[in-house]
Amino acid sequence: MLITSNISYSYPDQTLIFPNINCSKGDHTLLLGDSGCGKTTLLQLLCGLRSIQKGDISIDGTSLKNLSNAELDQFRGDKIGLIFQTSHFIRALTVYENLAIAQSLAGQRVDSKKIIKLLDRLNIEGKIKRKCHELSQGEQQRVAIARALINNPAIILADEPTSALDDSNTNAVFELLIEQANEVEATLIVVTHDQRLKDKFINRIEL
Amino acid sequence: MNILKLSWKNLLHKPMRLTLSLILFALGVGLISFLILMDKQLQDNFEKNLAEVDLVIGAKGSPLQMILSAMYHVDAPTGNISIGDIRPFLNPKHPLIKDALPLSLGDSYKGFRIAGTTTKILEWYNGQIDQGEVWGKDFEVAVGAKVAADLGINIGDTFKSSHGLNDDEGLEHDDVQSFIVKGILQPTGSVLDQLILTTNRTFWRVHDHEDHLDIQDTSDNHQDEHNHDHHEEHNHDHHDHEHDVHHNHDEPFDLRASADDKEITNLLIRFRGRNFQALNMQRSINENTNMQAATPAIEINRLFSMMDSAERALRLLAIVIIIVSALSVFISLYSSLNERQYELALMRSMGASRMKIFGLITLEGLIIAIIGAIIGLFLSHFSMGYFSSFLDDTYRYEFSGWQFLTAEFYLFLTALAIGIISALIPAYQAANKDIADTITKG
Repeated sequence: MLITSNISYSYPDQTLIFPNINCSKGDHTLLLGDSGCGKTTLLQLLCGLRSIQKGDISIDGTSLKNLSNAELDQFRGDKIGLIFQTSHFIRALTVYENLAIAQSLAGQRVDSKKIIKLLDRLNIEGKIKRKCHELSQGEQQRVAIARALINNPAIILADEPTSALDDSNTNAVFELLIEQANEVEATLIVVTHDQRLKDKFINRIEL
Repeated sequence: MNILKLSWKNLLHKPMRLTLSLILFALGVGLISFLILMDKQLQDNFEKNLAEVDLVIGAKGSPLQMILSAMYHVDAPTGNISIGDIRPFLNPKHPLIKDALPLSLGDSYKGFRIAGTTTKILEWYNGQIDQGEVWGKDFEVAVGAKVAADLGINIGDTFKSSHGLNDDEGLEHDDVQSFIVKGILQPTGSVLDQLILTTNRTFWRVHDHEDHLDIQDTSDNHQDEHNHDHHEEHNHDHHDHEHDVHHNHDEPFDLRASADDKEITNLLIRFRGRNFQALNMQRSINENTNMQAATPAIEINRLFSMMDSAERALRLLAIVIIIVSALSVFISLYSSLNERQYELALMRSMGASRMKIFGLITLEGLIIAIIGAIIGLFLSHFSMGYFSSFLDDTYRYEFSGWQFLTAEFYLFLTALAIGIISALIPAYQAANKDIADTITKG
């Protein structure tokens, strides 16, 4: 599903060399590392936001190296669900519309039944017509997860999904992530320095 | 949820910013459109009333005033000219003059001007009788379509005229006989619509009668001394005393055969050809007689060039407003980029291409331009409509708020282009921003 081979990335002052990653479909993997070890760079490389200098990344059989920028955008919308440390939404849109735009930006038809079902599953269907910034932190993170899942991605990349949350919320979000990833049979990759998550994953890669 | 809808929602999310941009856009476009409309309708109104008149002869004074009065019936006449002075121009065999139309002005009825003239005026202005017949005898009138419509006049109605051109002067000629409406004209779109037409001699009879009453015997004596046309004067009095008796007043009369000291206000002239001699005629009238002659087209051009400087100032103002509105669109989009950098990056991460981001921002500029321009055009037509009722009341000229011009279509396109152009730089910036760091920074 996700295979990286010998990727390294050079900044003017340092070169980051990353271990090879090989995840099968439905695997859950934790990429653990402290600040400055290149977590963010790796994440950007994985989701095609940064172009690959050396090595290759293959997702679902497609080599990212060979994709043009526009193809990368399309591929990302289609195959990768992204979740960030703090959730960002399109401020002008409601919860429902934020999910709808995710569908249409990925080139899919807006499927309102699917959106409602997903929000229902995540227990936030009551906020469907609210603007995202009116929601609590925990609710926002749920909407962010819902958005990452809406297009049935092959891979869910979560960047520090819990570092802004307290212990109880961390557990809730973590369980939700695992549960939802299983639901759509997606490969989940969590990139974090949050040691609280360390023991919850069988597959761990230290950077 | 497409890009267009998202642009719209983004704009609605900042209602104050949107309102400001819209107001500026609407003001700029509205002002320019209003100027275009005004200019066009003024020109139309002036041009369709030129009626191939090459020369207007009248009493000395301001030539522009004379043209405005004689051709457009908006200003006061400069005075009167006597038949003796113009008799040569009335000769149908005149080598230069193809046709001449005498006008007697100075009286009105409820704000509409009464013009004493011959039925030839109908040919000049392409007028036709709609109901009834043309005026034949003195005190018979045919009224223009607008006069009939505005005053609710019907065939057979009678009224008394007032001295002067405004209704409020209260100088009704209540001591002379009433006018009787014989005909109503079809709408022509020309000045004919707003006139009440009768014979030239009616004016003499209305005013001579006044003289007669006011100055009594001295007036009569005065006229007797100078008037070689005694029998007419005699018949005039006779008529007044014995209304039902038929007299030669009621027969068609020839202006050429009238007395030297009888007066009309203006003589409109069509030349056989606009040649050197014709041009010379105007100069020789101005230099050698106590009358003046003026060319309508030249005077109207002079009027337009006078208005032009005022119009240019307004146009400049409108352009400045449009530049400011373009700037406001630019600034509001540009400053919004910073606060929207996350959501733009987010859109990219969700699969939006750079082109889509570019399109999103450009559309926001375009939407402001479209709505602003539509509001502006609506405003200009609305105020033109309002203004036209005012012009209508004051000058009896028809202006319309609902005439749309191709120039406005181009104005609309220009406005759209300005909206797009002012969004280009922010759109380019947004599309080319490196989102990798923005989105993973947290």
